[in-house]
Amino acid sequence: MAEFQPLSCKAWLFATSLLEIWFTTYTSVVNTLDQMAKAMIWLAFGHVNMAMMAYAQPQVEPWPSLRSKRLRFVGGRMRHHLFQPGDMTPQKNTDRAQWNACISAISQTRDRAAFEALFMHFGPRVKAYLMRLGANAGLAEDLAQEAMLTIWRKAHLFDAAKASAGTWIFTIARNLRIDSIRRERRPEFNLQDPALVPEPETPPDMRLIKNDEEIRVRGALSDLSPEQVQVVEMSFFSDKTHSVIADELGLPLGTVKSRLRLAMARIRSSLEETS
Amino acid sequence: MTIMHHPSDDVLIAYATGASDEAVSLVIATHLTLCPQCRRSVAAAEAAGGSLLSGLAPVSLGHDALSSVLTRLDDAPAAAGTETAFIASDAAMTPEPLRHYAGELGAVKWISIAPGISFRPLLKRGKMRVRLIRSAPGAGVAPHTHCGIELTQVLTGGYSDVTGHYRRGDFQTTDASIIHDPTADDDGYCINLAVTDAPLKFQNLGVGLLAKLFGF
Repeated sequence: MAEFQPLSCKAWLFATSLLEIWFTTYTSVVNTLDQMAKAMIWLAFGHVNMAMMAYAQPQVEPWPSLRSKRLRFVGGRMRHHLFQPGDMTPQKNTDRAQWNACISAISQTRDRAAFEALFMHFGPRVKAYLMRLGANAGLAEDLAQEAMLTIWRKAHLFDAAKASAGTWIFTIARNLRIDSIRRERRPEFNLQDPALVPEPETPPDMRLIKNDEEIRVRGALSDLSPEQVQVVEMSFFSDKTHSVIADELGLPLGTVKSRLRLAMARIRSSLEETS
Repeated sequence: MTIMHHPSDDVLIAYATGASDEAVSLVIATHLTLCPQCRRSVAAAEAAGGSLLSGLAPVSLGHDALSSVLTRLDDAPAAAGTETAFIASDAAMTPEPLRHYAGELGAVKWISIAPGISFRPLLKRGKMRVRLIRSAPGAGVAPHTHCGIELTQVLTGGYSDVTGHYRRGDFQTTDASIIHDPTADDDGYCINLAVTDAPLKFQNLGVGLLAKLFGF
């Protein structure tokens, strides 16, 4: 038996569908232009492979804030099930705000749609991270799922003024790995600790800087020399001490350390420049 | 309190990447509690980690990964907040990472090893040893060098050696290239948290023998 729907409800659904079709088309066009622009910039600097990567990035990605907030408002929960996960496209420059919004939606309203969006984006990247560090596919899969559950459980501890969503998720994956693969404790400082010595004064524009932390860090990373990038990547993705890294590269330990130091100085200053 | 001596960048980076072991992490986390500047450095390194993670080529998860995690969400309650019950008395002195291993600094059971010098072993992981070392005012540790590295975090008071003067919050890195005889300041007890990856090597054979007996 066909389900009865009042006319006004049908009209409403039709209108919102039109709106969504318009949105999808609009965002995919904007995204294509965005990718082309990025590819051109890479080409201008002579990085053909990066240009190809920039252009070949999958267009289809979830659009968390739209799915979790606007669609609920427009059509209620039943509407969002009409859409498969991954049907919307985030614009790169607003990624950060969207992932942050996802995490706060999880902490405030236990928003599953927001969680799905985070899962689709970060789950495969956390798995990739764990595999780079030597976990086999099965273990990496389990831990990536575990990391996503941790995000769900700890969403209320996320502080956008302290770190971007990507950085926070990196620390979750890192700690989970130390805990489950190395089976070690990881002592960490606690911001609530009465013994903690606070910042002398927080610069008022610090929050502003945090807003584009990812862009700044990405910029700083792309400014590094290939040699610096190599040691930074090996530091993050190999779980080897700096002296082992030095051995593998056939370099003196001092060289590895100074490359790291210079790279970090660059990243640090990118986060502290106020201009 | 201005901290003059910090851990080297590569030690902070190893902490941020997750490469450092529990022993070194304990000393670094203790330093970070006392040092806003190094907290910023670690945060910058973690931001680099976040950026590198976001830039990795995704490896797709299993077909049922999302649905299986979604069914587990209801069983995953929100984690407790960060509020921990802090003991008011001494809490302002003992950084929390350390408190987990040693309790309050005021209540540590010290083992006397030489006149004015006592210690408390905290952690043993492979070759790594973490100890609390307490020097009475003006007391000094006999001249020694290190077969490996030693990282020292000053918790209370201060001490001096050939390389300089260290006070609460300061951090010293020594290795085999430095022979030192750290001597506590005259104005109070000096308590340090130290991690070593090899035994100390004392200049005096007798002292060395004694130190071996105590497991240094």
